[in-house]
Amino acid sequence: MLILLRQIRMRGERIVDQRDLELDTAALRVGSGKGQDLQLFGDGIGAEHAVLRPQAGGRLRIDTRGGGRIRVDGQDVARAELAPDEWARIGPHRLAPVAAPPGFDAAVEVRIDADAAQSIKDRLRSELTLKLPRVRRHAYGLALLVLLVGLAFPMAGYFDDRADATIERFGGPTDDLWSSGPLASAHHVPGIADDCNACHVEPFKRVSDETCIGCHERTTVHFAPVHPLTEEFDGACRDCHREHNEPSNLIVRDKGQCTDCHARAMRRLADAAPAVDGMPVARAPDEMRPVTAFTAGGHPDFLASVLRPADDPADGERWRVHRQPLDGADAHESSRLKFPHDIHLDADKVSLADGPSSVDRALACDDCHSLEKEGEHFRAITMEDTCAGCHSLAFDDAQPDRQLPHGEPATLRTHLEEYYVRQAAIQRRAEPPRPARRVPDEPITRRCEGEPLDCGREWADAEMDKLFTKAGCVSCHEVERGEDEWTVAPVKLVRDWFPAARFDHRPHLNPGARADGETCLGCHEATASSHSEDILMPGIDNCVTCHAEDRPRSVALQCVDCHSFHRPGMALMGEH
Amino acid sequence: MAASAGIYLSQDPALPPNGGSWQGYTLGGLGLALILWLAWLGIRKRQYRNNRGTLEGWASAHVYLGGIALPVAATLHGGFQFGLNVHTLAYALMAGVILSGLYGLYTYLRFPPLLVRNRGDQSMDERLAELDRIDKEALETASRCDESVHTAVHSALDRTAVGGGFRDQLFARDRSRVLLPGTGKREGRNVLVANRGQRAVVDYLAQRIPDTSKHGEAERLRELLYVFGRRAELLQRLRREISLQLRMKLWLAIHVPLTVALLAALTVHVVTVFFYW
Repeated sequence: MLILLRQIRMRGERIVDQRDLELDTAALRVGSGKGQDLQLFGDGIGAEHAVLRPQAGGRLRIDTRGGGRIRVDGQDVARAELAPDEWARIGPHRLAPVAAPPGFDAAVEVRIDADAAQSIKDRLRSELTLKLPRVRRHAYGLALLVLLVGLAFPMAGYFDDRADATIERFGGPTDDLWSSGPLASAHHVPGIADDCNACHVEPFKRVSDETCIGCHERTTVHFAPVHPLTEEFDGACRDCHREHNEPSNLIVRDKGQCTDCHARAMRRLADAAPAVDGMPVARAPDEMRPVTAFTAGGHPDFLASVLRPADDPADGERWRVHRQPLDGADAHESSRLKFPHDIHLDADKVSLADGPSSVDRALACDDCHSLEKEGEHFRAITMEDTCAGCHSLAFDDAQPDRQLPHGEPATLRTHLEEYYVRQAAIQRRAEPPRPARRVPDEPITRRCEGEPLDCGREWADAEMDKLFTKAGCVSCHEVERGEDEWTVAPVKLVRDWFPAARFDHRPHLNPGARADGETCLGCHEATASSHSEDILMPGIDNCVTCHAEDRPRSVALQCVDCHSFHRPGMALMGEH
Repeated sequence: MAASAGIYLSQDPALPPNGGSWQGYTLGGLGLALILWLAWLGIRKRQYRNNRGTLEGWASAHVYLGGIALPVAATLHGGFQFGLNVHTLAYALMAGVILSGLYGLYTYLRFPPLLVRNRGDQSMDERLAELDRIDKEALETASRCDESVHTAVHSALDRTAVGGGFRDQLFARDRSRVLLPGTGKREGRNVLVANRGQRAVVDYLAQRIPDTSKHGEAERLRELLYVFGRRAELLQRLRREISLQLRMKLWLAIHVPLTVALLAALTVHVVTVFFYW
């Protein structure tokens, strides 16, 4: 479009000069800035003030920019469409569309005020305007970005699985961003680590116990099912098990979790204690004494779980667990095994050679007591594994490899009878000359004069009497002559003295763990024990020498270091 | 601050400090209340009829609570646990708001005396009026000089840059240029050269003095030299004024958007914490 731009400079009503300009454009830019098609100076004229667009019928459309104004018919407007010969004012100047001369598509006449000059303030307006970032736009933009990334996208993923998959495929923001910290390593399993909703099932609701038990159904409860506190206790899994912490703290070890309840004395429910190794707890103090801290005064004395033969074994359970203090009249165990620790640990009385050429040495605790891998308990003491190494069951010096069976008296008698009947038969058949026959501690001259069967039985009976009255079975066992046969009182050694507590022997076996350098004997006074009834378990006084929490530089313990909230032997949470 | 520390330390050592304990919720609530109150200053300072406390008092409390109490409460609320998540985003934005605010405090303490010294008892309008006056004086004097001098002076005035872009304003850069007769290979052509501190035009005018042939030309050139010397000083002060003013307002252009973003991030933080309670 060819436009004729006629610029007439005026001073008052007098024309100073006139200049025509041909422009081949559809839009004509007007302003005080450089590079404008029509540069006009004067107050109120912006650098890029307006754009003129000739229209059909000789009309002219004016659109202002950047808040500029034009004055048409005495009104300041932002845009206008002028009819031919209709005048508009831009600052002190005037312009109008006029009839286009031949050859032109449009013509604009501008009457420029020749005296109008831009004030310096106006001239420098743009340069003096502080080029500050656009605060509002940045504020809303940033806030929107935060809301989109932090809330909108993850929320869309939460409510729509397809959206979630799409967002994840493009690496967009998901509800992972909402995690307040990493999961504990125990929960780094597929289905939990990669899915928040495995635990956060309902929005705005805390993780419920049911959700936890969904996986942890085999975890045991704390209370007996009939416990009155079961209703009163409003604890939830999350009270002790906190997720998303750094460092990871899946088990809250704060003693307050326990002492909130246990700081007051509690009545112990009868029959509420879980069985120990299948043996019921028959006796325990009625009251659970208060616990406030692991100190000599803040924690009750330990109760040992000793075994007692059942008064009425007819119900099939031979042994009962009795919980009782470590000292006092009842402070003894009833394993019915005779065993003096002091003699075995006295090198003058009992010694051991590790090999044919080694020097005899005193017995050490670990010659008999072998720690399980879990560090707390010891492998069961048995005749075969523990004692037989020294205490042979050989009974015939002529045949030292022949051992008596370690079992029921009837079995033993049968074994002896078979042996002696054979000896008698051999003796009878070999006459004359009669071979020397040796029976331990019997005159070598004993001969079978009758039937070998009778002789064998007689000799076996004599051997049984000797074993059960002088040396042999009676050395270690409580025996009794029954109507028909000797009887041996059943033996049961305590495996777990404190079933409600945990203790790891391993760190305590370090010789540096105690000032006196003792390992076992520092806590278990075995050298002073002459009876197997002695309970060699140390009391709380022994523990608090190192672990009292009210003592400076002590290795303070929290309740859960020794006690588990989920008590072994109790009902399963999934069944509760 | 002491109360925040007390609350924080009341947590049992066996428990990791965490926003989810009662201490965490208390400190978080305190931090949120502080942030809302601090952000309210943007509204309060526009309430000219509000008589509840002086605006000076509000600003003072804003600085102390925002600069000291808030970071303590918020840091302890988070228990020093940071990660790539919306919660740490809120913390980072808060840190940005506080740091920009501290820079603002620095500018308010440091720049006003510099501005006063830079103004030299002249208002902006007075300085612009003086610039206008000496520009006219220069043009008038130049019009009586040799044509090449007139061209040089005219272009020096025309191509004087006071502000320019954001960086030019911030660092008070002088991007003025001038059209001068070329020398050597460019003999006979006018060349556009940098006119920093009006030095190029001053040098040109000074070089012209010994070669004058017209009567009174040397005197006029000396007048022009004086004018451009004065002009250079005036322009430099204007640029410094713009730079200082920009610095005094720039922090707010960071502080406010970060604050609005922080409010959004806090909303996300609170909603998501309870959404996945």
